[in-house]
Amino acid sequence: MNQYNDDEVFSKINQIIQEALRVDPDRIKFESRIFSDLGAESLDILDIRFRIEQLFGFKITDGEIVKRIGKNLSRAEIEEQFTVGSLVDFIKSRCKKEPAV
Amino acid sequence: MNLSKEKVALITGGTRGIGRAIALSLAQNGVDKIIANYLQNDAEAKITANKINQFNVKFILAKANILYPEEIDKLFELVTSNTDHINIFIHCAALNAFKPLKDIKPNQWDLTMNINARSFLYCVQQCLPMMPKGSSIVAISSLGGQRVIPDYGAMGPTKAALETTIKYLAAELAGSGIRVNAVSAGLIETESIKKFPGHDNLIKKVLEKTPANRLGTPDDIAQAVLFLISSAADFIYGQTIIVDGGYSLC
Repeated sequence: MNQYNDDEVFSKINQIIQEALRVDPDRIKFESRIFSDLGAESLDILDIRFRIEQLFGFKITDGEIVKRIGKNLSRAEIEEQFTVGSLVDFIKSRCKKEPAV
Repeated sequence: MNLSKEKVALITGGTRGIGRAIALSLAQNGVDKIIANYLQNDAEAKITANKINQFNVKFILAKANILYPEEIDKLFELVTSNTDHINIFIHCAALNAFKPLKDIKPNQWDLTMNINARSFLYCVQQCLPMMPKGSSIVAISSLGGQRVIPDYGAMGPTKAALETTIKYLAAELAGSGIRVNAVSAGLIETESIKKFPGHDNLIKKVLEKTPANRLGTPDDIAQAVLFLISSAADFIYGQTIIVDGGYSLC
């Protein structure tokens, strides 16, 4: 699995969110809240999850992203804290270094 | 009802709700091997496995995202490593967004249509080389495929697509001795009912219009599926059987 830097992951996430939510790329910032700022709904999150799995080549388990944001959070708190940046951090944590050739 | 021996069944969405009830019914009615595909919720899949393992049935869990044809290919790699034939294919997998059709976004349309309808066709195409004469295919539909149900805009068109697909397949596959049908479910008591906006009010309204005076259960749907795959339904081709307690009559 590849290891990506912040910019590379952000660029890929930006592309995924553009395709899924059809939002202008200028609106997609590290601090953008995926629900309230970018207009995502719960089915869109599933769509984004599937696109991440396809593009980055790993499977995301049920509730894994939410757990990464924090434990015992209310739905409102999750929606507030679920940003593009938190998604970038999550993906970076899942991507491991490729073995040296 | 006892089905013939040495039967192999594949079910998509086969570990929760209606899919679980169908898997259990098959296990109780002589199917020897059940391969249950699912997308998420490993805990529920294990519960289904534990329930089915009480019977003398080989049960195989097959986690795959059938949104993607390449994952369906992988699913069938698993299938072919476990069996050389499939007698029964049941398509239960479905995703929904509870909102009006006018508000459905393109990605939501694609997601629901591809999981609910396209995956059915592609799975059938993969099943066909493994299906002997006498095999049966059943798709699980819902009333929203034929009638307008408020906030069912993402699901309704996908079920309509499913119900038309089974007609074409029934005609095309009849010569191969394979029957294709669907079961259209009314409001069924499952976890997904709770996701419906204002579900308490919805249940009240549905009950008022349902001659049977109760909601459907997953077992009601499973029994209809059992009938359609049995020899009792040998002359039924390309039909969608409505199981709704009479709701659609009123």
